[in-house]
Amino acid sequence: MKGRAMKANSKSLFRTLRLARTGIAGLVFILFYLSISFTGPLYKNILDTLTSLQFLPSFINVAVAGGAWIGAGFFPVLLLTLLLGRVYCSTLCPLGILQDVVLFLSRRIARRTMRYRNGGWNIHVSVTLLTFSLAAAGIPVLLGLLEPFAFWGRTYRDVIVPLGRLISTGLVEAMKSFRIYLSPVPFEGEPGAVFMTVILLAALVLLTVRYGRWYCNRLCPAGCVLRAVSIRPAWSIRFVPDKCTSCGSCASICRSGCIDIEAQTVFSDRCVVCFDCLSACPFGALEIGGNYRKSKNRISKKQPADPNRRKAVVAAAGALLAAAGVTAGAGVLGQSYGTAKKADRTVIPPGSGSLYRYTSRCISCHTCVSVCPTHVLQPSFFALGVSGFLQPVMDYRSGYCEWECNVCTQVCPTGALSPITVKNKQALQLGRVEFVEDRCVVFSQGTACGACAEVCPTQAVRMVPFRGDLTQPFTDNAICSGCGSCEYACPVDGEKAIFVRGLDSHQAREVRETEQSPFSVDVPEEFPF
Amino acid sequence: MNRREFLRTLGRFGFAAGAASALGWPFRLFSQENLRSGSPENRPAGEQGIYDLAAVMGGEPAAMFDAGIAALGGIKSFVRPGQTVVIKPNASWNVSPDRGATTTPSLVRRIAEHCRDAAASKVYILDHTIDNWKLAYATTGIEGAAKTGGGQVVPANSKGYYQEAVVPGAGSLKKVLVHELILEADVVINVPVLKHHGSTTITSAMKNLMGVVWDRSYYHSTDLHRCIAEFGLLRTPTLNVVDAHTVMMSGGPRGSSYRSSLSVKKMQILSADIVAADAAAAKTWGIEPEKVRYIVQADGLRLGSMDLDSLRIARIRV
Repeated sequence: MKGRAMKANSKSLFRTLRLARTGIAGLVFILFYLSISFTGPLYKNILDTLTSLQFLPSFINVAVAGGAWIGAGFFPVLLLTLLLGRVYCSTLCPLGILQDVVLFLSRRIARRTMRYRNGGWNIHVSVTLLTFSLAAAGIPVLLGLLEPFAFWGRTYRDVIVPLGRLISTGLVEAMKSFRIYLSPVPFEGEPGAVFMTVILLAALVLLTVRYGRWYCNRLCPAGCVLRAVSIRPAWSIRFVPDKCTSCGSCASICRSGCIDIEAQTVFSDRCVVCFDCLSACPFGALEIGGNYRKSKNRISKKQPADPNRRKAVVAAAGALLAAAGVTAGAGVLGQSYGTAKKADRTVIPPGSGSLYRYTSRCISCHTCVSVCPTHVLQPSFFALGVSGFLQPVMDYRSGYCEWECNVCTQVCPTGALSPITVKNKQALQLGRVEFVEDRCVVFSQGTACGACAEVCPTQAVRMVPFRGDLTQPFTDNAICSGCGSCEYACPVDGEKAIFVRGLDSHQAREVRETEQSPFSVDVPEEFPF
Repeated sequence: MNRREFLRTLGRFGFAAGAASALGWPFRLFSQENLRSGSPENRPAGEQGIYDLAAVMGGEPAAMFDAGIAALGGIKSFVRPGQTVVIKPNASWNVSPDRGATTTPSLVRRIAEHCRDAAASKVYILDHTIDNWKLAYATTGIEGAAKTGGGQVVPANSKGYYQEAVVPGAGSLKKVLVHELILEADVVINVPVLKHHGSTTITSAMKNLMGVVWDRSYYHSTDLHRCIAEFGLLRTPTLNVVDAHTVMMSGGPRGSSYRSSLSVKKMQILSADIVAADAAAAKTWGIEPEKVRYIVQADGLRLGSMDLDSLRIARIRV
């Protein structure tokens, strides 16, 4: 990008930039959708790349969950923001792109006029500090609600997937008449979570249509950090002196409301670098310019001491102190009142380690929920206590943990679920099986069942002789993995006859399987009949 | 009406009839009434081979099928040109085929190939798997084998594919949601793997048909043996091919390397009579058919005969 004076062809350059931005954003959005919807090594790599570039999740993964610094996505994002401002917000953040899609559609329906608004620093910093303080105290509830990747992840799972199911069910039905048999998009979930996401998404859509990127500059914790970094990036959009006629074309289209015509200033901290204003200005009064190059044409005047700036510094110091107080207070309160207290039976997912480790790191993006092939992972409300709000748990009514699967641990962007191998997962004990004789079909009906033992991958539940040719379940807790296959399969209505009681900390189960199945060759001499 | 108009009208009627029959009317309705075409007494005399049951020993599953089906008069006595076929293997678990928990893929492939040779219009392969269907279809090798054999793998994991059917004369399984292809297909070839089962002692042909219904839980909570037997009142397969090559003797039906043992018996049992097939399978596994309750009940429902001595059995070594 050339420094100050834009040439006559700058209009086409601006248009190209804008096109590039929408192109990249569109591509990223489509890749997000595809890579989370489909399985395979290629999609896996794409999903890994995209999620590792998510600013806060990647930061949590490194700083809190102990992930590798090398390859951590938040660092290049920080660098990018220092150089070019918040391009992240319009090309890599799925929620940002979603808002831009909403804006695009709403502008096609009706003309929307944006207007300049003040910075909103107070709200934004307060909300963000509170969010971070609570998260640091081990209560990432606000972070989970506001973090844009988490917001997007829930939108995908609770809105896009159910819509996909609806559409694909019709499609599958239609294809049957052509003798083509397909499978509809699988969806299984609590209506409560869907309802909540729909409400939050509806609020976001309304805000976006009316106020543009309001969320990103008032509530988004990632946005707040990136704002601080992009107060004066290396290059940014700015006014060309003496060309502006104050027509307001730029401000009325600015989705961030960050163009102040009177002060002839584009506030780069709120600008998401969508490039709309550049092509909207009929007089070429906006340009992209370097902020750190010494300019010969410009008189660099010594600024007088600004009393407002001093106030701001004092306010920032006070805010940080308050945040530290909130962190400490919430931490103490959390420990004494057990904000992370698990409902008795609840089972936490593989790779989560222990209850506190899990609840303090999960931001409820529900990526694991979306990729779980058996739908055993379901969002919880208060099963993990206050601090576990919306975090996924193993719901053995919806599914069971597939023995040969570890995908949830492979996709977690924050490291709340550590990436463990299938073998390591198979050695874990997530919970222990319990059998309630009175409820069991074999005892209450006197008929054969064995649904629980049938599906047990470890023989922790197996059938032993009962009476006559009837067999009854027998449980062997030491080797139970807590996968919930038995609980899921149990045909008893209401309270199941066999269930898994989750552990606060995962343990190692006793492994008795051998590497090889015991074969014996005994081809009979004669036909047995 | 002149001659030309007459011929044209007649032509149109002919076209309409052809189109209707292509859509399956009214012949499919007819075949619905005659679903139990599998049991020997219901089949036209010409189709009855010399033998009621073929038992093959000593080879690989595909070779044993070749020999066994030849003894029963070849695949053409079960599949007529243009018919649709459903092959129902056991693909229930996300485990590799060498674990003896699922049907040998090469057998499924060979059966599909035979059906294509017999000019079947479609060969579908389906199983309502217990584990995730995509994983199970792939890991068991059934999907690959079916495709190589010219079959079409069909999902059975969504309720939309299941139709409610009334089971005539049933006491426990009065109504059941069945995969619509099982109800529609002209020919059903049931290809179970013989295994130990924790609660029904063995699982073979009749038990394998739990994989064409939607709600297995209902079976388990409403007299499992009775439900397994009574499904035969709705439809019995045209042909049953029991894969007894590598037989799980304990720790079934899923099996794990802890507490399950596999016995290589190199056997296969083929019969249109599902009760006879299961009786022979029971003997092969090492239990008297009289001790497996669903076999006794199915025999009582006259779905076939568990009295092996009364049957004409071809015993073949390959």
